[in-house]
Amino acid sequence: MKPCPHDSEIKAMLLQGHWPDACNPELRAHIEACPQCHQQVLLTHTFQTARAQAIESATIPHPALLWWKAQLLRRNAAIRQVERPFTTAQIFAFVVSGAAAATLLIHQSQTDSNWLAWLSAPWQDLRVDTTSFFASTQANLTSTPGLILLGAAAGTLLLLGSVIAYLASDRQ
Amino acid sequence: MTWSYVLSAVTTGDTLPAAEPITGSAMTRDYFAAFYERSARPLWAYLARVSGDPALADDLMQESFVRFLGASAPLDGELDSRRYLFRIASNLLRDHWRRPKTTPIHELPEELFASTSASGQLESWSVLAPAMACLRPRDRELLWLAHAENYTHREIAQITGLGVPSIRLLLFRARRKIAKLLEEQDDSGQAIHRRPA
Repeated sequence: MKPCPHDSEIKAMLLQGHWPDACNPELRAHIEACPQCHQQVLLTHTFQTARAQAIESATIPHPALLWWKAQLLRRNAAIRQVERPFTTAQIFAFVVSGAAAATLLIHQSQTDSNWLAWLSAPWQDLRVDTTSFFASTQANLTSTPGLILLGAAAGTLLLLGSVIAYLASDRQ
Repeated sequence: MTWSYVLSAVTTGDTLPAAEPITGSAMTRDYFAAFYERSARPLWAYLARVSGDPALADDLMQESFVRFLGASAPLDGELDSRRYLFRIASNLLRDHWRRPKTTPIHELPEELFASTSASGQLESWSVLAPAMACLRPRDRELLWLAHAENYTHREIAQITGLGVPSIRLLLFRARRKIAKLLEEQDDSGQAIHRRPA
């Protein structure tokens, strides 16, 4: 549909708020005769009036409230972003510790065929004589340095596992 | 462009020049307060009249401003910022309509509109509301942006994400439909619109 030649003139008149009282008689006569312009005036006038009345009736919250809310969201997003490398590092440490423990166990199993007995030796002593527990453990530890490593790896794994479990539960 | 320059433009009520792009997240508190003061009510009017639900408009308006403040898109001056804000609001409105268990506006009873227009000032809206309720949400959006906010087809395209030719066609149809509805009301003596004498 081809726009009316008076289209821009009518739009400007409506924008300036000249309709209906301050509209010049020639333009008013044209609006009466042209269905396209009549529609334009009808819609724009109705919508502009509805807009003005809606703006008057609007009750808006204080901007500080929204500013504070946005700041809070932004801060939370920043914290999440900072935490991300830590989580990655924790997962990496866990994987490395697991791999180290597995390597150690495999190595021990290859070098000593009776490694299961070697591992359970201190506990057998414990079962036999509980009173000499500390003495036998100390003796075993000093005589078998591999056990120290194994104990350290297991302790690290346990510690990291509990830290990760704590962090995961804390985030939830 | 310094912030003192920006603030001086705000206090004088001028729109910001398009010299240097800013982002919503880079706004100062004072600049935001001034921008909010000028944009919040028109945005609320848009959301309330297009959705037909003032309570929803309250929520979406706040959400729009919060998202606007978190946005990192560069904006050339206040007019661009306002368009961007309307775009966020339009997207939120669309998300709301897409959600399940939403009652479409044309299914809402007419009394609901009457109850929202408690004051006698809302006489115009009581005429427009039934006609708007007969339209699709997208048509209501387009009509409000074109006739209440006076946006051009290109600006409406930026806000709604539709193409300019589509907007031209959709607006043409929506205009014809709502004009017919308003004139029918006018004929039955309900409309307050004064026909050209």
